[in-house]
Amino acid sequence: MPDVWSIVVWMLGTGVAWLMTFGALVAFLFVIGHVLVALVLIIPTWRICTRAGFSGALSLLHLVPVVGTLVVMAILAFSDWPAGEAPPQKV
Amino acid sequence: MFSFGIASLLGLFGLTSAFALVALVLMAWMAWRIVAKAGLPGWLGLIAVLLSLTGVGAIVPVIALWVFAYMGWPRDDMRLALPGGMPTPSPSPNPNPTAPPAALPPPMTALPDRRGWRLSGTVAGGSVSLAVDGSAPAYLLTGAAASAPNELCVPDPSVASPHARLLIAGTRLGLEDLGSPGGTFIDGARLLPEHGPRDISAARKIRLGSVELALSKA
Repeated sequence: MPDVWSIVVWMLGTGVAWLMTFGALVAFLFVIGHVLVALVLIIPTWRICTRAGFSGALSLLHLVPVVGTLVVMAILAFSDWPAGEAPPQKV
Repeated sequence: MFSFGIASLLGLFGLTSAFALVALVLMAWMAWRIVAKAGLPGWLGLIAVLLSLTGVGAIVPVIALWVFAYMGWPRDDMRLALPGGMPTPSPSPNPNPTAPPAALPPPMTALPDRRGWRLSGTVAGGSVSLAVDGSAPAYLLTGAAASAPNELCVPDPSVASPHARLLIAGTRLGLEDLGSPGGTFIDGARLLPEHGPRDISAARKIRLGSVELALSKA
């Protein structure tokens, strides 16, 4: 008959293993979700970059979490477009 | 100890909110600039970003992004309508690349330089040097063997048949991509078929597929 400590250790081990499995699953789903969301942004941004005269690969910065979108927008907003820009409009 | 933890948590939330607020303001400003560069009213971009604060959440900016990417930009029409600009291109790639193109408008200031142009570079089989002497109003750049006087052969597998069109108006030289899969580049910038003819008189290099050609006066 197993003693109490063996049962406690077994329960702890099972709990930790379950937590690690759950954590890995959550992380996996998070990564998949992030890539899917990034893809929805990358496709139109690729076209915008190309039309502006930049490399379409610039849009892959959307894959960088949090700041990637900001960086792409900053490049498009604050640099001269190689394919030309509309003249400034009077507000 | 407990209150310290609560304070830390609130501080984290506050920091996150502050970052989100700054990011939102930045994004709205940048969206304004991007949309304005395309020739649309800048406030459209601002509103599209600020709509993410509403109940519909982030779906509106995403839809606006897709619409913006695939809609026609007034920038293209504005640029072509400017004095000295190229003629308005067809909205879709020219379905008949062998048809005679529309003539380029006359230049604003005609310079007395009547020399032709020369495109030179290296291809898979050696070097290539193409003379554009202006005897024809337009030339087809093709990867196949030239079968007409106005065809210029760039014998490389990455060059389509036909690949692009050169247009001559006075002392100016224009280039139009004909939907080639290898792509056409002017000084590194991609030229798309929907861009129409582009003045390359001041360009230094053009690239057809993987072939880079230096542009010079003959």
